[in-house]
Amino acid sequence: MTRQGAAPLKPADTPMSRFTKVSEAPTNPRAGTKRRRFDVADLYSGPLGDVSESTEAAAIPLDEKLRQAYFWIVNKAIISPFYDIEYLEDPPPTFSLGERKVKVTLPSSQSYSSYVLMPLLNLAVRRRCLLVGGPGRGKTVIATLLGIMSGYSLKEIKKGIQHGQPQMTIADLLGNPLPSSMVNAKSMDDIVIAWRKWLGMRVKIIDEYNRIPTRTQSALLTVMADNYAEVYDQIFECPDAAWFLTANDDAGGGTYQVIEALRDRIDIVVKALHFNTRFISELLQRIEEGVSPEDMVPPEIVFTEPELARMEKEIRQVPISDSLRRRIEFFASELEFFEPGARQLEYMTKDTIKVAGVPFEAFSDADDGTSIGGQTRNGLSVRALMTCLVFAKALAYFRGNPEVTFDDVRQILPFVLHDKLVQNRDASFFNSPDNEALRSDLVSWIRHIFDRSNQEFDRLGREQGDQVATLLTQFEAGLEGLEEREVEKRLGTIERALRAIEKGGKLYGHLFDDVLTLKYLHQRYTNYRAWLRCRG
Amino acid sequence: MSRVGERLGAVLADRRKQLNMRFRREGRGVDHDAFSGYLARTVDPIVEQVEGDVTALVEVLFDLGLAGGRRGLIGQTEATPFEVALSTQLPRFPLETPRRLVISLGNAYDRLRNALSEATATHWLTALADVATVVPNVLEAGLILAWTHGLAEAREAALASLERLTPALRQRLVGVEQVDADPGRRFAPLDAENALGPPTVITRLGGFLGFGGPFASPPEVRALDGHLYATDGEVVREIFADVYGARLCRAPSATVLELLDHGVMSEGVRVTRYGTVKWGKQSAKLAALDGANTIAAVDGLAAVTLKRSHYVFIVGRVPA
Repeated sequence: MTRQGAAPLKPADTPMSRFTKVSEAPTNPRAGTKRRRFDVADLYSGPLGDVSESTEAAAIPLDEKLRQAYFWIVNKAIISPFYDIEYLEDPPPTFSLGERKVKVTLPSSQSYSSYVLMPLLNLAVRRRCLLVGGPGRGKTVIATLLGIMSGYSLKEIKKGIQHGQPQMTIADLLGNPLPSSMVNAKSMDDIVIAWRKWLGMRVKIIDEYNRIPTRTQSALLTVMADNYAEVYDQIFECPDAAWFLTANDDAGGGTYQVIEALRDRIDIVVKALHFNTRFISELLQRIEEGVSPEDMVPPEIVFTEPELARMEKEIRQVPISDSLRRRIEFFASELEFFEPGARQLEYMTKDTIKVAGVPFEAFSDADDGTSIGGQTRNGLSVRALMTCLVFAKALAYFRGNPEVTFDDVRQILPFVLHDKLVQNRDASFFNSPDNEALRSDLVSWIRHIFDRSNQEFDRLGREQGDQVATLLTQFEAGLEGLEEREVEKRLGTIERALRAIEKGGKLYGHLFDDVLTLKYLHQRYTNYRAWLRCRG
Repeated sequence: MSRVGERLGAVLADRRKQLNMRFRREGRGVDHDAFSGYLARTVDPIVEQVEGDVTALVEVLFDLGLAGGRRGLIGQTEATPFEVALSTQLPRFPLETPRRLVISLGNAYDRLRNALSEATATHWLTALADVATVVPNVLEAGLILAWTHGLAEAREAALASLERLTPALRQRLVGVEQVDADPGRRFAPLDAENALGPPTVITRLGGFLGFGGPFASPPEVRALDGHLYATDGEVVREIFADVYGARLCRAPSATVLELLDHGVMSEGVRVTRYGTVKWGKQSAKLAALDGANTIAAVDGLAAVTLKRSHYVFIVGRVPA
């Protein structure tokens, strides 16, 4: 008897089974995902070191070079023996420690220190990274190292660092008009500005940005947001750059309040982790040798400008599967909706009440805070969403993945949304003893709400059946050649979908965006039908 | 402290500060006397045999001593087989890029001795030294020789490298001028021309976790994207086999669930529970496969598992 198929094996039953369940979805062999074949480099790389003659360095793929840079930093430069970015391949050993049963996981796959990885990814995608933590924790050092890895000398980097201090003026930051041109100028156009050199650098470091006076912060905002500096009507166009800002705490305080627009331009926030005292011997060695990591950056991990540009382009090409994208959409949709805030559907958002200056507590039937939406005071802006996607791609690229995985998104979200998602600390969710710590541990909190969102996504069966997605896909195929009868049919489908939502009772966050999408589609088809009728 | 020759001594003196810093940085746990012994018995003979400036060579051998000690490649009181092989063979290599060469050879040796055996790794290094001055790319030649010494996963890369060589060099490395890359003949010696016989059991791989194998429970096999895998539901191993050897390798790119969802048991090959293998037009009853439950095949290589066995049986066709 010929046997065609074996009885299916059961995956090992593990506490993390929800992760294995999610990871099924993005696998897509039809996409032509090539599995890596053994090659020369596999035979000759290993524990004795990696081949790094200059001719070989030119041939190294940029993602490999990025990984080499990471491992050099964590092994040789910054003492950061932490693996808070955990990846799991096999079920990991877990331990519950202490009276509060603190969970410790020993990751079974390559894991990383956020304190090194996130700034490095920021360099790769040329965005804006805020490093926060107490003084003397290496914030400026890591920014300096990344500057050297972009091709600058230590001297150039040191000269280029802008140190926030209460007397900093716009001229200190951006530059001064040349006195001779001021005297001779007949118009503003004649004034010549001696621009500060740091404006032209591809890595920009602002130390203690929360000590810059408010007026000067506004000038900094223009550079960060729009990539140009303006003084006396003269414009200096800055090149694309990776920004590293440091602050001593993440309350945005310090000497001056950081203006919200400037805070909002920060793409990723990384906390300096504490120093593990078991590694004091490393500090001792540094003292005895009299060397600092900035003096030791190997040329093999220095990126040229064309390499940085190419790497950024390659990162943007890393695909995100439709399935994973829908999960991100679902998560984001849970956050913005606020039903009591308006009468018109489109305005039922947390942004509406924020702009109106009305506190949450003023609404008697506001969400009690147990749902995901109730735990936040805002939703995600377009900018925040785009930043999430870019950094997720960067993380996948760094790990050598052919596409972004669920775990990549899960790991990157807390760092991107750290300052963007405002927690509703009064939400009843945080009153539970198990959840108290999430008031301060924003990274774990954001991971938690993302996990909950995905559980809800699975419970609703959105992976298998998403009618709105189907209707959108149908619409995106185009209207050309569509007959009126077909348009009527589609309008009917949309109205039936809305009836079904109507019958469902409570309007949830994800349904809010679904309803608006259905309204959008209905309007588009209605306009098209009117055009068909007009045309006769 | 062991004494070294004049040439090595001169380099050590000249680079004293840098080498001392390297030792402090990388040599935690390394015994000074043991390291001196390595310099005297292994590095010194190499340096004496090499002409010209040996500074770069000494530096990389110094680093090798620091890193290699932790891997057991460098001995504490006496020379390891690696040291003996290196001190004899390294002077026979072209040494224009010593760092790349020495680190690569060390890593490859380490890989081969772990994957196959110390004797195989030593033999490989000697065989590579024999051809080092005639091949255009020593490391590619090393890859080909690693394959012929049993590193089955290197097959495809080795065949690609062979294609780039002249017929004379192919003859020198693998014994034939033209290599038949037909995967269906993977179990035939490269110089064999006979037609292939019926399927037969070539070898078995794997085994129970408790006895040093990888599988906690009887595995099954699947093919996915042109690769062959075995899994027991927890671990996944990729299967490689040909005339030079057979190997199970860790498979980081494949997960259990990927295999369950998308892996297939192949078209064109079947096995009955009584061990009869039907492969294309050929069939054979193989007693060792009695109790078979899964079979998968790619490119002339089939793997079979038995319901109650922790092994993976490699099935192929050899010349009649």
